[in-house]
Amino acid sequence: MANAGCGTDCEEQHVKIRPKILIADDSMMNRELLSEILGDEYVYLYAENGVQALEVLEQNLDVDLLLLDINMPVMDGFGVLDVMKRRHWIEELPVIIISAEDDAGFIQKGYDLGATDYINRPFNFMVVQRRVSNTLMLYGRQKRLMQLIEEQVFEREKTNSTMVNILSHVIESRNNETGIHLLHVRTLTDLLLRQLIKMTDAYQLDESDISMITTLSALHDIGKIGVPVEILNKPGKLTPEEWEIMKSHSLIGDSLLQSAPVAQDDPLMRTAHEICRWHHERWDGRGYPDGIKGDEIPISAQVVAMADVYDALTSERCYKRSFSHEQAVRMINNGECGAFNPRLIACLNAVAPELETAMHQENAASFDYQQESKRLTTEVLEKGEVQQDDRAQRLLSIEKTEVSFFSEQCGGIQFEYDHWLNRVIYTDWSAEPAKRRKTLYLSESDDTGILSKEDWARLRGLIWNSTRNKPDVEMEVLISTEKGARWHRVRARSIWTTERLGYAGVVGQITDIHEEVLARGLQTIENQKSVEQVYEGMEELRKLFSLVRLVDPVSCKVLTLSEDGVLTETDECCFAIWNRGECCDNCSSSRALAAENWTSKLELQGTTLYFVLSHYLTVGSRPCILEIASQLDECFDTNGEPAVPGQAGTFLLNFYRDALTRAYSRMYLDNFLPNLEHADGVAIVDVDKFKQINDTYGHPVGDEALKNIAAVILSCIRDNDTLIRYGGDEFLLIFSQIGEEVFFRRLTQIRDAVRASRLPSHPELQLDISIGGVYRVFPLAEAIRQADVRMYESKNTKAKMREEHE
Amino acid sequence: MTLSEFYSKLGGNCAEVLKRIPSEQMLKKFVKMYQKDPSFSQLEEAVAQKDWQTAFRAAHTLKGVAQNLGLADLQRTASELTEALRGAKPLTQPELLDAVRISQKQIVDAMKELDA
Repeated sequence: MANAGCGTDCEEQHVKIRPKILIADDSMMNRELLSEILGDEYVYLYAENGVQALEVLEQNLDVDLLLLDINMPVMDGFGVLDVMKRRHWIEELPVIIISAEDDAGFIQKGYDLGATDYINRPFNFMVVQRRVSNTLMLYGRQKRLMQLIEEQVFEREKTNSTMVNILSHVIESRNNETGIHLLHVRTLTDLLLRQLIKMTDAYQLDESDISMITTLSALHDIGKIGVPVEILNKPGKLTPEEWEIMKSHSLIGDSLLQSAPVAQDDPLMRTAHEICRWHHERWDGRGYPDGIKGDEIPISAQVVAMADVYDALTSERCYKRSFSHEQAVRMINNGECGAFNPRLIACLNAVAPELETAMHQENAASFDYQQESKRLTTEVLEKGEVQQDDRAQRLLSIEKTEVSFFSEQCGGIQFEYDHWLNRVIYTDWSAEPAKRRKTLYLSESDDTGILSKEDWARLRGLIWNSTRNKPDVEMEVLISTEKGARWHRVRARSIWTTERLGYAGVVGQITDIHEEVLARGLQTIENQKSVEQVYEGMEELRKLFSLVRLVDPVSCKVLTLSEDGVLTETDECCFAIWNRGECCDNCSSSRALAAENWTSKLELQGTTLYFVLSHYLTVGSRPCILEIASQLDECFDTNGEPAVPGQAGTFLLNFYRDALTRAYSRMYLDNFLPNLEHADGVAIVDVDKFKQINDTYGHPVGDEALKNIAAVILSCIRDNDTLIRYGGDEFLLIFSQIGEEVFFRRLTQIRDAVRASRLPSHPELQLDISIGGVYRVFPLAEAIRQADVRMYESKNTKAKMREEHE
Repeated sequence: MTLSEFYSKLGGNCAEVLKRIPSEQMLKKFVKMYQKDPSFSQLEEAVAQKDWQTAFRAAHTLKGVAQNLGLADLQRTASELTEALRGAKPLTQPELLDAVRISQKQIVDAMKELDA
């Protein structure tokens, strides 16, 4: 891994004076040679490949120079330059290319991508030293300062404040308001503060105060996490008791912050306290919780309060309709909605003309960070204060602590996706601390971590359609957890670059909403009071689900309920529908009876998969179980597109089908292993030269080939045989009951059929597969292993024959 | 064996190298560092596994290191091998790899005799 060269912490004095050089070269010899040649005038950081280099740069914003090798594993030097260019790092950080390539084109390409200079091998002592010191001279002190401010304060703040925003949003979502509320408050806070410093210097606010208050405005309502949802979302008027609970959110927010493990006396923390505790105070002293008045109320809280009120007035809430911009400004002026500092009212009136447009254009990204950092740089230079990086660091570390604190409060799984590195970092707060963080490079493997590949693709589609103005996306997915497949909600926000380059990445949160989904889908029944209503509810549910019935879990008989509320036991056994002769091993109904609650399971009928929910209820006075089953495949029409959106559709997510090939997914195998364990024939199918097809014709054609092959295989097998997409271009075939001879003949037929098939778009392309099959090998895992070995043998034989042929 | 003798044994020119790296002490340190360099074993390993992308990179690195140290024989043989493997082409001329092996062995042998 990359490591800091010399002691960085113990010699802070020196670190400031000695420039920092990152050497990115996969050869240890070269790294040592270069640092040896350059001597101890510099501090060194090292990276062994391009991705590592970018990571070191990300974490060490004070690197002064990058010495970059071109030929490196994982990501080469050109890749690094490309990312640096897109992130605008190249404008601030000089790069010297190290090249053993005599090819002039190489060096030209490096220059084109923004490199400053190059060093040729063999290294010449004098040349290396001279080029490095010259380059560092050119990038002067002011430039460095500018870079420090821009990247440390603003770039980081942007990401962190987005994180703070999304976390607050998670809390706020309980409140049924849109996440845009936070952005509105943020924008308005910024506008008001800027107007305020134009009109008066009574409050001694500088640029960094403004940026701090603006960022922290997102936290004003965090205390609402302690207010019950019923009260937050109550459409009507609150009772006096409920109102007291609602009001407590400002104190709850304040004490939440107090329990944060950070220095409480820091300006940042102090401001956060002010905002959380006092954003409902009034200028006339009639606010809450403390009833302080006038400028006893910190200016941060005053401004956020006004922003909050303005946005509340102009938005629709569960208890009110929305007012127009003009109405809202007038109401605030007339004191119809709170009492404010006359200076702030003057500010509001001054910004009113631009306010409406600003609110519609704004979001986190339209805040011009580049412009901001220039402004701040000027301010710092004029004041002659140069210790600002201390402050930036502090701001940063406190924000980080804050982010992790709020994340912990929210629980669930967080993720950050970096578009350029194609990297996902998951943080699972339910895992033990050492296992919380998981980093994945999507280019290296097909593994997308927590989300299935299909869900990941769906999420990417949503993100792709998100815009600067509507950066938030949301979807519901089934995620396999230790407790089985559970419904989760994914909430994410795309992060946009300052340029119109598209999105830079995504931050998001994944929360378990399994209980919520169950409750939501079945509320109909839940609220029934009489037997007749149970009947009505069931009729309602039958519109959504293919199987809705009542079962007596003790006698295992199906019960019928007539329209007039008469419950009759039939002769039919509840397990008969799953083609079983006896009670199911995984009987969800008896579990539901024991738990007097909802339970769920997956069942297979023939080749069709069902998701079964069981709910305990009493009909009349008889305890019984309501069973609701939905076929997991029925939500897809012939094109493989979801046909039943919403409602039942959310239950029926096609979890076990591979979206591309329509074969079953690997997940299916994992969850249904017991059902397949005693299959007679097992075969592994691998597409020949698949990589070559991808490389020559491109991935869409590769996908088409896979799709075609899967379709051919499916047409050759029986309904009760199972085709599973086992890996990228590998399929697993499982034949439940089949004779040995038929089995092997079938495999030959499949291979011949694939060879005979043609891709409509590329009829010249000769498709071929290698198959390895085993008969009656148990257990299944061993059968798969042996089949895999045979498949490879057959593939190697073929390759050999081809070689000899050529 | 002196550093100068070491170089002439390996097809190099010590005086030429010392034009680039002005201190003999430092050059000797670099040369000794070569014993720790994993590029050659990485090359062997990658070739054995027919991982031609990695083999190319290892040969390329080896060439660069040899060039920096002025180990002329190794630089030449590694360079020829690098070109043969460029674009992750499978190795069709095993004699190119053998030549690199010989250069490597000569360096390892000479290193043993080099004065401390």
